[in-house]
Amino acid sequence: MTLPFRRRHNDHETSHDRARALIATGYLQPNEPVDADWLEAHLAGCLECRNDHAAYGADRELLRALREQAPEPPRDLWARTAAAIELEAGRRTRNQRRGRPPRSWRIGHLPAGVASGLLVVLVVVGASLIPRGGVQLGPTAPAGSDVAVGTPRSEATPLAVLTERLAWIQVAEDGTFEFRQASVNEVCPDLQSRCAPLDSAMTTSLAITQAPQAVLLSPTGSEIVVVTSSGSAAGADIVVLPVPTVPPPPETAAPSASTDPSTTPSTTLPSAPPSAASTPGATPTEPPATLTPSGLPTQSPDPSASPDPSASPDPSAGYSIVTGVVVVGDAAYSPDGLWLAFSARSAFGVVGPDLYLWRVGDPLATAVTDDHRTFFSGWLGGQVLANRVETGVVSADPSATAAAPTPSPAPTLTPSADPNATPTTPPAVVEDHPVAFLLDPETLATTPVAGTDVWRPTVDPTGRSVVYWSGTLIPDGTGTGWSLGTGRLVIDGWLDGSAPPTDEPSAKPENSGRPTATPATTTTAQPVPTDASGNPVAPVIGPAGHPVTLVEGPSTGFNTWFDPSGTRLAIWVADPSDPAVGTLRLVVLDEETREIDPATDPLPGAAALHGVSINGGRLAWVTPPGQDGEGSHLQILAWSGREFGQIRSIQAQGLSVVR
Amino acid sequence: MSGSSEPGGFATRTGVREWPVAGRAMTGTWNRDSAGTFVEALFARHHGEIYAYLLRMIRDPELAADLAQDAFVKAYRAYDTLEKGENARAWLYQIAHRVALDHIRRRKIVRFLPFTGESAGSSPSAERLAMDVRLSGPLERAMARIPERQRGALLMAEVHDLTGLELAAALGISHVAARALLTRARESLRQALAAERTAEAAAEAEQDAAYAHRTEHGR
Repeated sequence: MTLPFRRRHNDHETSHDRARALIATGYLQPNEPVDADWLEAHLAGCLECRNDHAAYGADRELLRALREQAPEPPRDLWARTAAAIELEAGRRTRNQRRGRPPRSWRIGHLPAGVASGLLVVLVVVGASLIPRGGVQLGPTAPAGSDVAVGTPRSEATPLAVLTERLAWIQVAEDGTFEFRQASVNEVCPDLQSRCAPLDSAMTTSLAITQAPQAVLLSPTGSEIVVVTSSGSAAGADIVVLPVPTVPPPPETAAPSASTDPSTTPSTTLPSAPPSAASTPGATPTEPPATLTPSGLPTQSPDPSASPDPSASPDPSAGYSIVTGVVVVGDAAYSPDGLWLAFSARSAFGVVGPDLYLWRVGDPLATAVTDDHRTFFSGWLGGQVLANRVETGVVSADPSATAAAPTPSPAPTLTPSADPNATPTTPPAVVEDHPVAFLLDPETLATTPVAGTDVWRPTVDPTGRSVVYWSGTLIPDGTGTGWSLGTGRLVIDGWLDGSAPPTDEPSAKPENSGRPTATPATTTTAQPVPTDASGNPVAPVIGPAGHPVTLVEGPSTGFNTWFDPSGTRLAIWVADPSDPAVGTLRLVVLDEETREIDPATDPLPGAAALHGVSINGGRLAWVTPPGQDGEGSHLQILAWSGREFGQIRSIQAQGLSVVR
Repeated sequence: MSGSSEPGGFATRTGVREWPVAGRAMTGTWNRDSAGTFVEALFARHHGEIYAYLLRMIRDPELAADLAQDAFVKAYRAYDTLEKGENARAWLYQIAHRVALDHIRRRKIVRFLPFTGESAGSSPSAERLAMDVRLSGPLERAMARIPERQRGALLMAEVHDLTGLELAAALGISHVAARALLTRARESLRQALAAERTAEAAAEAEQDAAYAHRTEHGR
């Protein structure tokens, strides 16, 4: 594209540029006489510029013709706006009532009780004040400025919902962090309805100094895990903190859960993590591989066994279970709350990530792989679902990638999901291939997941559906990670073999329990199925082979989460220009068939920061901060059956939803 | 605008609205009554054009309404930042422009597929593509192809008739920079329209050829 003001050495070209610029600006305001004279002279001798002049004029007429086609605003626009303004006023009122220092624009002389009443009055009276044909709005008022009295949105009935308790953190007025919890009992069909902003029922101070990468609440409710930001030179820590005021833990409570809520008004990060020398971060010259032999969880398979007293953490103060790492992807508790799994790499080396496990109550997390190419993906019952990246080949021919080493590929399972069939693979690009496997955290026995190029699979808690990136990976050039290659995000059925994976420990693997891509052992002995010829066929665990595309590649990044019922799927896809921001969608699956319900699309795509919380009856996320220093909102979509509604918190800084 | 009849609210005022701020400088202090009165008058006067501007930027009526609402709430919130009442229109356009750009920035990349049960690798049907083409003219498609800031500048200058100074204020840039942006926008539109017309001509030629082919084989 030719830019009119671009400076070039070529005088001839520059004169054309100048002519175009003068033509263009002449429409905004008359040119100076000297410029006008120059332009006239130039046009007389330049056919190309005369054509441009004519084209600009014709385009301008086309644009100005749009003035005659003024679109009609919705008739309830004022009612909606007035209600939203009243909500804004109420928010300021509440902020002031809490004693927050008023800002120059902040007022709040109106009692909250009056505010809700005024909302109704405002809608009715405000709408009636808008003239309906008898009042001149002014010379520039376009047609269609009349506003009707009808206020369908504001009259929507709030929806009662029963949801899991929600927790989040945010920056308090004094700059410290707060841990907040609330119950969502009522949502509105849209945000402009009568629902007051969500407010927390309980607030606890949290002594962290910067916004964390992620915060997790254990399934037992006994502790929270804070993944600090990986942005600092020292890397990230994963810190375990007690949650003093959440409901008491169930019978399977971990040793660290015995904390008296009444004696711990706030949670505080440890000043010095215990035994940091055994973490990758403390040994920058040593790769994490050196940790593996002594750190296998199989050394203390008995969950009741106490850790070494000398290294025993103080559960009431909080402690780091790993330091000096870059946490890759999400960390997650096992459904029973006994384990935490994540993948991480050293913040000081140039190697990829390994899989870490932390048994709740242990002083430290342990790296259970040392190949520097293993990624935690999620939990499937009591087993870890993980990925390992197999090195591909440099290929100028997309079909050549089929020769990459893959463990027991099952091409018949995923015929249409095979990205090798896509003829858009760029030439001479190394495309690596992910393989998935299950890992028993107790025994470290592994079970392969069938199918090639199954990356970051998320299996729904009922074990019927799986979402994964069906495609290749491309080394990012740093030696520490991979980016998504050719492929797409798909949903498919999930085959769990002849029986669901067992939680019972099986035969302990020989040597180390380090998972490999080609394990020789499976965890359970099942009746061997046979094919049509009567030959034994190994039970298949993996995608069913009927993928449906959710998001087309290429993609910068994604994340997926199922709700406990397996019928609500949240999909977050990163923005290529800003991977911290993305678009969130909720997909509804049919309860019986688990097929996507195209008629129910409660969240077609909302701007969201990375990290959401989906649990019984609700999905919560943080909206990106806006311009002019505006903060974010915590936004909640909740449902009751097939009815959906939303509610959001007041604006706040440093919001992070607790998963 | 007459004053409110109840303390703290602008919901119960009565009477014919008048321009509340023209000719007087804002005080710089946020006041609920004044802000409410101001935004209501601003809405009455400009909501149609602001909605139209956002619709032309976003091309989604429901979304444009949401963003228009958002723009007026932001105006209410930032009422004290307007220094002169006569600049209110440009100031409001500035807010609307930022709201639109914010939205575009957040949504522009992710393309979730419609859940039609299509299997992996399927692409939009020819009928769907043809429908998309029919639903919008070359100008609309060309406008959608040029960068958002340029599109906003063109719309504000040519369709919404902002003056040079108003345009600069609405874009939040200098007068010179606004002129330069507008010049680039005109050139972008010229090229985009030319491309659209070329594509349209090619499609028509293809249709004619197909028709001729069918006619010939039908004999």
